[in-house]
Amino acid sequence: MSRPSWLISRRTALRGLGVALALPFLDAMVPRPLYGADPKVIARKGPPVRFGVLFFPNGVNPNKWTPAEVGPFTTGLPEQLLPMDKVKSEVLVLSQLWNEKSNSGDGHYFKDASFLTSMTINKTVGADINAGGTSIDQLLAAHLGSSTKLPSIELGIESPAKGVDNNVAITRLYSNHIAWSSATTPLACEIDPRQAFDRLFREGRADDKDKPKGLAPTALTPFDDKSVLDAVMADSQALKIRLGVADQRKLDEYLTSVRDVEKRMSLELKRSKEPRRVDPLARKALPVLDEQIRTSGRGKGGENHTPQVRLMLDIMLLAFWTDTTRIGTFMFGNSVSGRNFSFIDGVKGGHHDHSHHENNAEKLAGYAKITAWHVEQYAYLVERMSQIKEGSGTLLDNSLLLFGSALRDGNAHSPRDLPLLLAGKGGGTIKPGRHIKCKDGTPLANLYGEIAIRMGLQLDSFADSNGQIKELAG
Amino acid sequence: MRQPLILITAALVGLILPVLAVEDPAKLSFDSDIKPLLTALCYDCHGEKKAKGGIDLQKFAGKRAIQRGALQWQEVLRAVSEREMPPDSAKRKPTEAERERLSNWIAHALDTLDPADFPKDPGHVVLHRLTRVEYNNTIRDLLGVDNKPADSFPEDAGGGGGFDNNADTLFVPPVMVEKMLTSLGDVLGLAKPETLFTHKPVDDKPKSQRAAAKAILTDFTQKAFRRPVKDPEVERFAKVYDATVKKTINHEDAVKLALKTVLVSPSFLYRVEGQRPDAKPYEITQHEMAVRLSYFLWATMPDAELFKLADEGKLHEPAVIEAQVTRMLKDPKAKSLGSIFVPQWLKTEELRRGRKAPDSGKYPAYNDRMRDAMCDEPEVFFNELVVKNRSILDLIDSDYLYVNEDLAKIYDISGVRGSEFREVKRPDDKRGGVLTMAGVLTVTSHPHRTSPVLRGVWVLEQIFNSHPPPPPPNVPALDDKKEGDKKDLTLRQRLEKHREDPTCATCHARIDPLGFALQHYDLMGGWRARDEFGSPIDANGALINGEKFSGIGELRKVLMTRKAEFARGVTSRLLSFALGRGLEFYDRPTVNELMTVLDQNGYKIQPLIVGIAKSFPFRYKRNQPVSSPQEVSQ
Repeated sequence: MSRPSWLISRRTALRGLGVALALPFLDAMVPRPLYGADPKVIARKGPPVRFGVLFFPNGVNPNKWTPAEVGPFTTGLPEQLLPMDKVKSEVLVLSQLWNEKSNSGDGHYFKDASFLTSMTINKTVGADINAGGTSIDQLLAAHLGSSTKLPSIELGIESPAKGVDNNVAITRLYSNHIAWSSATTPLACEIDPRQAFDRLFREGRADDKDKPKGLAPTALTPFDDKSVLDAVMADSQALKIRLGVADQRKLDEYLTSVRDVEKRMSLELKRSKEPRRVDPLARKALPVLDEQIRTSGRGKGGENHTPQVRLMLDIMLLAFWTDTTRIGTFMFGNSVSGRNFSFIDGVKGGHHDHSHHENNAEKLAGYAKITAWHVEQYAYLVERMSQIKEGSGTLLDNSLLLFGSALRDGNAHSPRDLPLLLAGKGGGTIKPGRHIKCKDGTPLANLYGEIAIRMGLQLDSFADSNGQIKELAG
Repeated sequence: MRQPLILITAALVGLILPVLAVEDPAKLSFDSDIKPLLTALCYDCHGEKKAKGGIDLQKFAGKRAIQRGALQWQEVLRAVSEREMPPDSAKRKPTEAERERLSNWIAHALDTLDPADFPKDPGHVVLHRLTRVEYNNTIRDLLGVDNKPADSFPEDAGGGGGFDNNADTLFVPPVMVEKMLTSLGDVLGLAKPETLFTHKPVDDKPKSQRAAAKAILTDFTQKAFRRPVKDPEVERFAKVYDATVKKTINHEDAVKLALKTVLVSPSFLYRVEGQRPDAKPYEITQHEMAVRLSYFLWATMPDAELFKLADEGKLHEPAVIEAQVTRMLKDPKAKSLGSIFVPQWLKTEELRRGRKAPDSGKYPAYNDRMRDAMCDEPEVFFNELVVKNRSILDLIDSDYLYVNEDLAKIYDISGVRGSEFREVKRPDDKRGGVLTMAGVLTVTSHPHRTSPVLRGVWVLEQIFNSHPPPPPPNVPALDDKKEGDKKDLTLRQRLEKHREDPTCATCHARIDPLGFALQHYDLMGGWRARDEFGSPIDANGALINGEKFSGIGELRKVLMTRKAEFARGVTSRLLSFALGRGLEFYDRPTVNELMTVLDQNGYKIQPLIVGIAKSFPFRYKRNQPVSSPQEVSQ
């Protein structure tokens, strides 16, 4: 696979980067997550470990989730976990973890926006958006992401919800994001498979066969994009003087992103001198997926969105397989998603509506079926990753694939005993195929600490973490 | 420097349910009706003896004192109406009637406060990143390239004030910078040479090429930044040209790269309004006014005429603003009002974006084309309302509609062929206004059945801008009737049972009757005699004050008797859209002024829009603390 051409630069040194950005004002005001001031990056041998998160909204039917026995799955799985039966030896069921800091505010936004930050979000209708801290995936991306073309990818499937939820007076912006590159900067999900694929794998600009309009070739060569960004940084600094502090904060967001892209351009330039090692099978898989995306249409219409979800999961798989990124999140839906799941037999209506089951048997049954559908999609990715050879094991062995919701029961909205699955061996440090029952009240952040160290980042602590989960190793 | 009123969380205009209230809060007395409630419910923890969280409500001895303490009481109102307070642990809990009385009275007190008690405030608006639509339009008008480059950016997830142009919620993630760099390459490749190279070098010598490049950049930067530019600014971009030309790239490519730099610059990507070291709100500059006007009405950059008037310093004159708004509304670009404001206001955006849809198995007539027709109708209706300067009351009731063939089938109107929309007289009062539009009736239904509750809430929220509080915890929801279960009650009977519980009745006695009046419309907006459970439609309802009505015709009449409340709702929404932020209590005087404008002009929409453009918050900017020199050191 070749480099995207916009990453090429003929210049060897960056100029005009001697600008120290002031910390965004809000960041300075908010308690930082408690991870160590100087997290230690640990070099490890062998294939890199990948971290994927598959998030789903609205919780699960609490009666049919947790396996009765602790340890290996000897008897049958609960109904909602049945779709992963085939791959159960690759998966851990984790119970009794909870996200205490999300246990306030409303039933959804406070939970979901902080699923990966383990902090408390700021309740607001728009101004002062704040997730309390950086999410674990982004913390890892910031420290480890420079090894790959992209530090992380954020994928989704549902168009972002807009406006204010007047029921609870909270901006719906929170509902659309689990990845936060800082407490005040949410990272939008890419929901178009075409865009996601091209950003990761395609050389140059999108060759969009769906819109035949014969783009005129531009003679601009891409090294120039770096000089564009240099000049823009200088221009931004001049502009900044004209602004008040609130506007300056907004401009800092922009500058942070510009610097991020520029930094990656020079990293890519360095890397481009070494040949990139990509599994030939992965190279072969790329055009196949490309073609599938091309023929899939644009995802409008049809309410059964399984094919779209599969495309996104395939994209994540190839991103990991080709080592284009090692960190990825995928959102099955936004908070309070009312997506219509009537395409599943026995389900009548929307996801959120079912989650408010009020112990009605019919609704609980439909709710379980919706959850099982989500587990089925997860199992699909787990299985595919387990079939890909890498080093002495499989791609899955070198991964940590988390699946979960930020509340347990959609009727109760509690972030206790969260429904969580973890697949993969994390480079041989995890023994899957079991149900681990943690001590009641174990912080979810403890799991994030465990994930971080397996990725190669030693954190003193993360958010409200207070220890390890030793059982992971078996 | 003091931060004026920045802590406000909830927009006050119509926070809860003043519409159709049981009692008129204006007629309550603080001493005999409200103080006893506060004493029983609040003062124990938030009083003279104990002031938990530093909050002492007892020190506010009357309505006027409460109004002057609006900042704090706004928070009290929110806590009470959202059932945060009194807490579960409180000894004495309010009844629903008490909670309603208290919150309605506080809302009323804050709604009627004397603006003279507070400094005039144009509100909190930060550096506004162009939305995706604004970006596409601006590129189109600047370069004549209509390839919608921003469609490759991540979707805007705006919130606040109910509209996606709220600057606080618009971000620039790294992926957007990448996509900008890529798509601007396309844009510049597609632009016609005569658009880009507005000045030609007199010969091939580097000196004259440089001069031409500089002249091109000067012109272009002014347009792209939508304001006059100074030479050093242009020189920064010219340096990109210099560096590029040196690398043996030809003149035109070097110009293109410099132009690209201009377009990546924050002065293009954001609507920048300069800061002035002034303690008070100040009037924005001429060019900033041109920008506010054009993005409000056109969702794009100002045209030559607005630029010219700004250059001449005329855009502060009320008569000029009025003439310009009138001119701008006639321009096809003003259709952006319909396509941006309307779907977010009426929620049809959820259909358009596919977040809501009827069950395709049960409703095969709902396909992409039908969805588009449903979403287009209110937008076309609104745009015609604007162009023809009709009354906003037509949104409640009109004797005309805009339909195409797909919609005409749903509406049972014959003789309409093709996908084009056209104006038709309504055959009867089953149609007319937004309430009976297929898109509205579909988005307020569940995927498999209609919902009087969702429709009732929609009427309160979208028509009256009034937000019912969340349901109290642990209330059983309605479940769907099991097939063949003859003993089951009808939906109406079950909802009536639901309302026997006083906790539910507070809101549902207001919500449900409004929704039941629309029961004759099926899930896709077609007329029906029986509901999906086979029960005959009963479209009778009664307001909480006993006023009875039946069906859409009488519902409209009821709404028309409250046209001022409706007008206030629409005005607040439109003002919020124009300002790109939610409304706060200090916006009350502006809304009142606009209500007078409507009243004096037969509720016509153009005077309302002109009024918004001339209003204080539209023309002024709040002073932000000026940064310290260290923060901007270079």
